[in-house]
Amino acid sequence: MNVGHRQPDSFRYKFPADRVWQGVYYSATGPVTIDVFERYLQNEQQMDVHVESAIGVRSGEPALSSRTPANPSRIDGRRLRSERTKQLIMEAFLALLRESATMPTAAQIAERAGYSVRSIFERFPDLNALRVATVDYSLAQSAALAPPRHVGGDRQTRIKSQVETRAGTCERGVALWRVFLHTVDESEELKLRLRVARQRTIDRLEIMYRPELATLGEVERKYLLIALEALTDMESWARMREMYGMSFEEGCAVWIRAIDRMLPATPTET
Amino acid sequence: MIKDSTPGPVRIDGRRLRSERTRQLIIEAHLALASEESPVLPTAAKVAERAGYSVRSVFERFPDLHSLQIAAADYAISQVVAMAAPRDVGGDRAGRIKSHVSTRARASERWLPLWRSLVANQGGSEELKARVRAMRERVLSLMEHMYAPELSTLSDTARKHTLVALEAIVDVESWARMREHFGLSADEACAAWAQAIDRLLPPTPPE
Repeated sequence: MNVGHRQPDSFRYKFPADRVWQGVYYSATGPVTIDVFERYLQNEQQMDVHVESAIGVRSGEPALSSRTPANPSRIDGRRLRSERTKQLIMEAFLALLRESATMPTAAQIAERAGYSVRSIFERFPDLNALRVATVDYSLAQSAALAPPRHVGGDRQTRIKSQVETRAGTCERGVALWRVFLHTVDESEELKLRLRVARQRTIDRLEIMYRPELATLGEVERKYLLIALEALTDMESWARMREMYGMSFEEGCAVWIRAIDRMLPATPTET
Repeated sequence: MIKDSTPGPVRIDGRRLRSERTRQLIIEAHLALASEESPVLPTAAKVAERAGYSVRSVFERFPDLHSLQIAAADYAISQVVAMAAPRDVGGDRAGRIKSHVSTRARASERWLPLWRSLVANQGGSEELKARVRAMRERVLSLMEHMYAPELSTLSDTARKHTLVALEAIVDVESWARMREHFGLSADEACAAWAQAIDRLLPPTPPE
């Protein structure tokens, strides 16, 4: 079910069925290839994505830089370096946001990334373009690193899985999210991405709690999804951590308890 | 000799009264502009123009724009508090939820731009951060009052967790998303909140 505005199809979080997708990450020690096996069932409501990595990738590590076809025949070294520079600039931007929660200047970003200001503007026409690219980068990161897991599990397993995944996304993304919200009115591109991000959260909730949501009428289901989205909003997470001084685990416990109370009874399988 | 203790006529200091009135008009001009241009803060020149005074008059009453911002926040908060006083506290569960939701919805609808401006412009100001925190704590304390029968059935931890979850659901930005992003009418948005609160609260204990 869709709630509210629908973004253009080009921005839908969509994976072709049974496609193997290979991405390249750049960790501190160099490029890391990660195979992402995506199984996306045709009805869009049974997405089950598994991320597997030959080399351990922790959730805090740098994210996906670009989508490349599986088994590329040639590697263009210059392009790879340029992509790497782009990614390092975005990583520097994100690191500065996490530290100060204000929009850094081009000079600050360049200094942190270890490049010249000119290098930034060779790759991004202006700071808004960098902001938009960084939002895309973060959306790709959360899609790849936080796929829905345990979709077929029991109620408690699904709640725990969804909450921990969402909490990890919030923990990593809140600094960018705040700048994003603060500047969203300045750019139609950012507005579009805001809608994508919110819709993705709704889609995820719908996938994870399908058995329970299926027992509700359309309006009740819509209202519940909206309330669950509000509950698990980035700022809701940030308040638990910053204002109420909760640990990661305690924040998860708040969400788990609330979701369990708000969801209707799980229907028995026939 | 016995001194006559009968109070004389109260003297009104007209100059002071005019000065207070000017101050108030400057605060109201600041709030009107902050609301219209949220989250961008108005300049002193714009505030002065809107209030009908000179920039000098603004700075005679407020040492800087930050002081004006704090005074404006205090004035707005006092209005929200007056508007959102708890009602129907002794009512049944459905009545209390309805009353709480409609009060919170009215406040959210009216104060959204100013709230956004306040949150976005806290910056490094400890005074503004304290006011944001006080507003959130007030929301928690109001809900604690409204849902005392249900919350009394929970352990300390469960009660705290439930209140934190309720606060997230009835946040001003949650209201804004329902209205702006999900396109709900005010009545629909109230229904969404009422349903969520009813689901989240434990059963009401028998009296």
